[in-house]
Amino acid sequence: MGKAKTYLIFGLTDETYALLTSIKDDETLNKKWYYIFLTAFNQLYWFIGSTLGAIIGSNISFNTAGLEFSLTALFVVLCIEQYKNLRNYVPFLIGIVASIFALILVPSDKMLIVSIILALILMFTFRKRIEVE
Amino acid sequence: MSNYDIYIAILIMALVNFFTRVFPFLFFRKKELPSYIVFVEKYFPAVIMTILIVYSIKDVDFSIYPYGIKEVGAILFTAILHITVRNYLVSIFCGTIFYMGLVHYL
Repeated sequence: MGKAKTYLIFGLTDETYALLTSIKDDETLNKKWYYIFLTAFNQLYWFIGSTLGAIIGSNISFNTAGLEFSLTALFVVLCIEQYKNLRNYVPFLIGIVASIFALILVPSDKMLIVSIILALILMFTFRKRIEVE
Repeated sequence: MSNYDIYIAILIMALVNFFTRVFPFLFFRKKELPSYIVFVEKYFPAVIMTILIVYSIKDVDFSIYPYGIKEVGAILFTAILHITVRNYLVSIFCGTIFYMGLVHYL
């Protein structure tokens, strides 16, 4: 990997992470180039999208209310793919319990970090249970 | 902020961001990963994806009408579509259109 690895660390985005953790390895592909292209394309899409958005957005306007749901939809899809890989419901249960608790207990801007900490505590508490499933 | 300040800010953010990503590689260089890291690596993606679904609708007020029914409905719609059709683009695209429809016309 070498130099490629440095780029992969630099170019990592949420989308690349999400895809790499949910898509099964295809043995027919060259792993190094697969990783490089996946990272590079995702980075390129971000670059094109943000640049176009900044240029076009300042000139036109249309009603985009609800468009932000595409991110939620992406997470839903990836969640289902994760389940297909794991066939274990416990991690999902931990995720939902931790995030709903955090949503109720703390202001929404601190919800993510609190959810992650709560979830990690739950994961290690029920580690045996999770690994047995 | 002047242009110069913006460039400096971007440079600092890029360096800090890169450091946070390199850090685990420096930390676990050439060593066998400890079993708790392997455990987190295997099961955390499922946990964080679930958290992110809730996180992405965190600003919805479930205590007032329509009680988040639009969001929950669109999530169920997307999930059912993905389980039946099994196509990433179809699920994400139609799920979003469905939600936008709910937001615009209900």
